[in-house]
Amino acid sequence: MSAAPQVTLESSDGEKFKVDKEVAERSVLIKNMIEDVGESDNPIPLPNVNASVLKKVLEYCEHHRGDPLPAADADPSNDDNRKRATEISDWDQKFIQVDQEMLFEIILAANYMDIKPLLDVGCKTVANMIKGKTPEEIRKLFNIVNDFTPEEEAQIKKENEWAEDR
Amino acid sequence: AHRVLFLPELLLEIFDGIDADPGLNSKDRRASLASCALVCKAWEGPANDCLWRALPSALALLGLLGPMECTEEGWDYVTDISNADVSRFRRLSNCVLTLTHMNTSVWGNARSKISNKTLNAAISVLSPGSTFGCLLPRLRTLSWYSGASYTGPQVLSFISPSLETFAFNCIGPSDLRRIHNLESGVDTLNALANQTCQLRRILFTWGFGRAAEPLEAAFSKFIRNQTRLQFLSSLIDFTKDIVEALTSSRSTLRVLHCRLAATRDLSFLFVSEILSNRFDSLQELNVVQSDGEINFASISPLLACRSLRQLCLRTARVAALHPSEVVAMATAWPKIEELRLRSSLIGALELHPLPILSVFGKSMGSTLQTLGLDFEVDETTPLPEVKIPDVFNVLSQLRVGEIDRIPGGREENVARYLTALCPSGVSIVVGVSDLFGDPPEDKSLLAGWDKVAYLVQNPQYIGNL
Repeated sequence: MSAAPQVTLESSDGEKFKVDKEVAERSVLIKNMIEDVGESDNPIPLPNVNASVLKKVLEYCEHHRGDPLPAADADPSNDDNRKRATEISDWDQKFIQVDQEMLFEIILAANYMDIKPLLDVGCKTVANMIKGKTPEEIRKLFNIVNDFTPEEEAQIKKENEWAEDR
Repeated sequence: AHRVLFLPELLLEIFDGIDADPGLNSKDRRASLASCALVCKAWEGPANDCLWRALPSALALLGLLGPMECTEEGWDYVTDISNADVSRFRRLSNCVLTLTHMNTSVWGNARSKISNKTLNAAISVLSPGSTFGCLLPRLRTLSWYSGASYTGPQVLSFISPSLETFAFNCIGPSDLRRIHNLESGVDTLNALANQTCQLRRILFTWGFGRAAEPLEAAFSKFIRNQTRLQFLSSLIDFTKDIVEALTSSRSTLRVLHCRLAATRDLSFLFVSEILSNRFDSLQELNVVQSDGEINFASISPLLACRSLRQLCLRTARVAALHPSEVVAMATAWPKIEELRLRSSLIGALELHPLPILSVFGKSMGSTLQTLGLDFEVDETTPLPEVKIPDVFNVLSQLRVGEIDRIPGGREENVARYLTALCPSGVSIVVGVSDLFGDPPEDKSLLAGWDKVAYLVQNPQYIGNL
């Protein structure tokens, strides 16, 4: 039996990862690169992803290697349905239990490598951290500076007043 | 803070996660998004994009142009808005894809009714020199509740060329207001017929039974002009004109919910023949007929609609189906998921003998999720032995008749029969059970279909209640 075809990915800090092509192709970016360039022994460079993050992303891709790929669809309502329909699975929840820095790096990597299900998991996790919190609690959680003037803040509050009563 | 938290496209993904969270009710979802909009300048735009996507009232939008107060004519601007800053209005109105508005007075107070003066003022500020303007240029779904105090076709100011779904609800409390409601329906339909938008879905709820001729004419004209209509739910009594308009339009209808009045000389057979000829890709048909009989002969033209997934018919009397007719339906509709054939006439003679359930199970059991029939259980006919258990693989609801009774003492046999045929967890819905509230504490007091429903849910008590 012949071995599964493999590709080598190179992180921004020069570390090389040899993985099954099927696993690497969970990333639409890599899939397209392989299709464009053809199969080659040269490593595929990923200049926006460092080794520790790439290792984590590949762990996700390995676990989900057999999942159906999300259809590339131009209809935005299908995209909405995908977001609504998908609950974070137990495995994904455990996988994404990382520190904030790693969580955001995974989101960036998933966005860059075009891995939609991983992007969803990351963004939903951040959404879960945010929901139900006041603006001040959110700022404190993520170390964000409030750059509104008091007048700007008052105007936004007034415009969105309806959201609090209905 | 991490740079992800300042990238608009990723912030939008995150806020979408809040907006799509099934664990949050709409109020909490909106409150969370409103909080996000106040975090910092980078968050305000994407959070408002999400928050303003679905508006529960047009007042939220109109209020952006100036302070408003509730007057007898409806909500009105407190001051002149001719010099209002429209930039925020334009920015936020562009986010709105869905609007639901109750343009009604409640208990004499203009609770959410917009005054004509308000709309005119808003339009003149946004489109100077014009008497008509579209306030929501990207709107895709509009649900409008038109109330009794009709003062003009205000809904038209919210209809955009990109509108795809329009739900118009016109329900009033008394005949005195009927003329206002009629005007609102006629104006709305006439104007819609002249709009450039081509709707995919329309839900027209008319709370007054038979519609007056001007409304029927406007409805026909509107339907005739549609080219993309896939979903039509109409509580206006259908007429031959309306059916003809529907079939002569270029639409490809997939779903039709309608009402037929016996007095309008429009039989179900006529409708089913014409529908099956013109719309063979029909997936859902839901018809309420005020009188008359529906039988297999009047259903059979629909056997040509191979994609049918849902068929719900209600009339005075539904003739009981023969087993061979059930098999013919199963063969014609391989994707059938919901089938309800219900009689509304008390004392309807032809009920379905319960054993026919085995035939439904064998022929449609792999797809049928909801089955509603008026069943009869008599005192002596034995129920057949179930040779293949759980033939209904996916059935989740069995709706049984509301006018028939099970002879005392047969409930356990019926429950045994049903639990053998159906998967565990199937719910037996008895037509009038809601009237009686919760089942009694003392389960030995349960009787009839209520007792069967309880035993099917709790099969350990069969023979032991």
